[in-house]
Amino acid sequence: MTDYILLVVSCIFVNNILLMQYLGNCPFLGVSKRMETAVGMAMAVVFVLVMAGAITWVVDIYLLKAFGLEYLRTLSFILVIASLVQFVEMFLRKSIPGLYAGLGIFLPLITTNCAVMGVCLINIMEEYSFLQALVSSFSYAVGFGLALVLFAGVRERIILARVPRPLQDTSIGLVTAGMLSLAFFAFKGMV
Amino acid sequence: MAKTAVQEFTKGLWAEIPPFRLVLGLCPTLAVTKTVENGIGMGVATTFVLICSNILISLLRNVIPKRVRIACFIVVIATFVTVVELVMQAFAYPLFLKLGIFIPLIVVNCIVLGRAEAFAAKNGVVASLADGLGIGVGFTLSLTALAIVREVLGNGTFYNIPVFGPSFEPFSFMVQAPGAFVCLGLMLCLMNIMGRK
Amino acid sequence: MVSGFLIMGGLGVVIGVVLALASKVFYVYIDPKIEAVEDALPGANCGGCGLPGCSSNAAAIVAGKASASSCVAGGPDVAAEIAGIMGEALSLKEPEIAAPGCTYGYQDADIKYPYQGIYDNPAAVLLDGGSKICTIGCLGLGTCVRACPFGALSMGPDNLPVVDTELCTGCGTCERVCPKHIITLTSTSDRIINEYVADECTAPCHRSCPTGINIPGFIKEIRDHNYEAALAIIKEKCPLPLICGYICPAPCELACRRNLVDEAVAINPLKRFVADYEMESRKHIAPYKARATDRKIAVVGGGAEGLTVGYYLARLGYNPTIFEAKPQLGGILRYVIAEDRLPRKVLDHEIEGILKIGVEARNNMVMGRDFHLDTLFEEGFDAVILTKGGFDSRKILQGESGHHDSPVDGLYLMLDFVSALARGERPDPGQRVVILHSGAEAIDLARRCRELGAEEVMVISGSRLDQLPVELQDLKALAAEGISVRHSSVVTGLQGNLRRLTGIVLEDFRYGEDLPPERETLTADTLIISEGRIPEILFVRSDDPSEPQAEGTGWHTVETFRTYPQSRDGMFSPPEPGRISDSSAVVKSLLSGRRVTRAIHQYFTDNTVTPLKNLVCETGPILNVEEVHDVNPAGRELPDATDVEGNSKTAWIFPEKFPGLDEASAVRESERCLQCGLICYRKQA
Repeated sequence: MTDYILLVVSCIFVNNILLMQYLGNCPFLGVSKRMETAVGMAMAVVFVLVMAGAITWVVDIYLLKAFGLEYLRTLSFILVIASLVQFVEMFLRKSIPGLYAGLGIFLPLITTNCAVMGVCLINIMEEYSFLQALVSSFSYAVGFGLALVLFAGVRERIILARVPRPLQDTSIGLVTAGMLSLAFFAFKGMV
Repeated sequence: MAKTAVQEFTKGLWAEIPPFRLVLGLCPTLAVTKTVENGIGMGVATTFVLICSNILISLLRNVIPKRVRIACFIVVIATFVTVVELVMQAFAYPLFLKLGIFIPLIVVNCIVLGRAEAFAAKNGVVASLADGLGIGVGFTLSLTALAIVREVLGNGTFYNIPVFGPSFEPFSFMVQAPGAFVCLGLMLCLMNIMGRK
Repeated sequence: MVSGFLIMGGLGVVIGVVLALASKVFYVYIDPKIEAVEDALPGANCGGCGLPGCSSNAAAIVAGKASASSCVAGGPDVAAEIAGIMGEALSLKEPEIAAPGCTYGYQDADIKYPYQGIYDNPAAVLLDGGSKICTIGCLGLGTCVRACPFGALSMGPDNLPVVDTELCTGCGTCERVCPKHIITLTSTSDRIINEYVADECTAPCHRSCPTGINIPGFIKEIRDHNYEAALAIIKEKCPLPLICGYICPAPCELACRRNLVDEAVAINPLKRFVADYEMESRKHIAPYKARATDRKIAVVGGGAEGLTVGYYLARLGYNPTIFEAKPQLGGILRYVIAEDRLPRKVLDHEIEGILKIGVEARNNMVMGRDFHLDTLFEEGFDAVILTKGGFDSRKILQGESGHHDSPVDGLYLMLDFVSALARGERPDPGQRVVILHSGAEAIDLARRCRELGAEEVMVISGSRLDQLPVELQDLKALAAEGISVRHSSVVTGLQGNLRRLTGIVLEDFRYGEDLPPERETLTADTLIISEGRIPEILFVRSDDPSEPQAEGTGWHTVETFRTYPQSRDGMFSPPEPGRISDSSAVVKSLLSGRRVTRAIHQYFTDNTVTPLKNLVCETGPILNVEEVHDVNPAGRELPDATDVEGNSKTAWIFPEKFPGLDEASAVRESERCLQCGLICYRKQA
């Protein structure tokens, strides 16, 4: 049990996927301009990442490892993730339109979100069990969401500040992300 | 044709240099620029994938159906990434270990997919080759520049050779995650100032 | 090696099959235009447009919220391609430009506190919504000016933004950055079909005018001697300014803020002055007209409302044809109102102006006798709108007893149906009858229908079950007789084929719950409504391929008016004040006409009619002032109190003999206008 709690804390804070592992930075800077889009993206990532983590684990253990085809991992993972995203999008649009209205527009963005692919690969490299892989996927996604929402809150305030012209937009965004990352740095060594 | 190919090449070096002018592909930019060696390695690997995928997609651009083009592009890119992975494993194993999961993650680097979609799918083979080469070299240059700053300040070394002498206290903030963000942000700011002239 | 091929191939096949199946199973209709635009976009989902992903940008482009060139990654080629796709779709829409909606700048308005913070509106709003007392006032810090990418905005001397209409591209950047939603995109078409909402700056006269004429706006133009411009402003909301100048009850003058000082501004005489100016100049001032389209609309009824619909449809680029049962257009204006009050030459002048702008009229055409719904659709009309008038006009105009006043077979007014029974006729009610009535008489009628051969009869009421008459509450006993009762439901649409009714659309709502109503479609051969008249109904062709029509033209109705999504208004709700069917004064018919026009225009441009939310007439008290300071009293300008024959008494009764304001007194009178905003007004120093 303690192992799992440590895993959760480690994935959310210590090894925060955005600020410590440098994964998923494109959407991090892209959709963090407004709080609502940030929340939507965060939810979508949680949703997809858990499913992707589970499916890629199964694919890796029962298909690739079983037949000794680890070199096809990249190819098969991206295929699985891309089609999973598309499937989830179609499913939500038809079956749960309310949820689709909230998350749907963020789903296509996730295909090229390296956080998803990255976490799936980390799960395999750390040789997690199925349950561990699930927990880690979920926790990484929560950490992604946490950082994204925090960052969006900060950015909404930055709009009000007078920023020197060359520093505006992405530039000040990156510097701010650095500060936020520094804050997460404090968790280092906790686990 | 030759002239336009040169233009396609040079635009990647300044006018559309990633990730500064084309704010894409930030993850590898931030992650692997701790040392110059890593930065160059990543740049070269990405350049290889860019060139190959651009050429193949440009060749196939009239065959791929429009509706499933993204999926096709991803498969093409993933194939070349796998090639890079295997080649690096065979000939540059230490570097492969250092770059870790960022090699397979070239697949989801928006620069590669973005060029495939925005350029290779609409242009001829020679132009696409030049475009891929230009963007790739530009990306490599950016990574190297960022890596030089971070490695020199954060480690006191350049390409693993000490440059400041033993009394230098490394500014270790720079090689950590926060330093990566701040450094990239400030370089972007610098580019903005230079670009305004 | 082989296993590698097999695994990847197998994975590909499995995924392909699953996705192909999923795309069939989970198929949802998407606007093909959105798909076309999405195909044209790069699909990189880079977020450079500021929206999350290409598909949402495609939706925004189609909805007109983003420009065709909004894709940063795609560059000019993609922009041109999208503009090509949108070209057809946008041809109905007039380009919009920004317009600031605040009239009094920071130094002229009442303020809560002096603001000295960050020179930026979003920051200033954080302090109690800004320094002005008016909650919707411009703070004048120029955020929109700095945001404009085209340099079309500048700050005027009164601290309000000024739009250079030549440079404005209608990109909407200013609209998005303004925290007060003061600067908005607008166009003439937009102003024609829109109504005032509670959070825009309106003067008391604005709000009380049933059709919403921009009264301070046109009076300002009179002051500047731009009479044609004044008339153009009036004609954005009122196509019959001269008729209104004669017979409008002028509720605006009762609301005029000048009443708090001395006397109301002579708004109606001023309107008559500019309208007289047009008539005397013997020309019809040609207002702005949107680009022509090939859509043909049939307007059934040529009274004030029908003329309004025809006029505005023509201005919005449609081709309207008015069908009038009487030998001449005008309805109540011609056949009821005394000539002494409304001279016929005035009426003829106004009608001539409306016909001139591109409205066709066919007189002596009675619906149900000379033409039918199906013949109209056959002739190529894209939509048919009924503007047959109020309770009063039905009797006066159609008169002939026993005339069945119905646009389609199977739709009856209860009065017609009952009187047909009383005359001993046996109308055929078909298999399924629906009676829309909340009274106990519904039971008798339902039983008569059963006797006439109807298999099922359903009584529908908008009331709750426990509010219905006791006879209607005994559901079991009624069910035994083949009569069902459905409560808390309203009819919101009709469906049919050729000239027959085939179905009705019902909405059930749950009292006490703030949920959107549930919609259901029932088959019905006969619908009997207890209303005294047929309301405005908009018929359009059904092109839905999922509902195969056996033969002939299928049609359905489009809801023309609704104030908010949870509204409990059905199609046949009784006319209450402010609702669409109000025709107690000509100026109210004009509003009904504008609302119907809006429905038609929205149906053909956006494919859906959006509810009107937050209307000034529907919301509660609005920010206002109770007293007026720093205004010097000045008497109202009256025209010569004697008529042309020197008779002073008849002059007030017979406006024809009553000369309007002359130019000098009109300009003097216009000076009296306080040019009010929501709470601001012009003060004399």
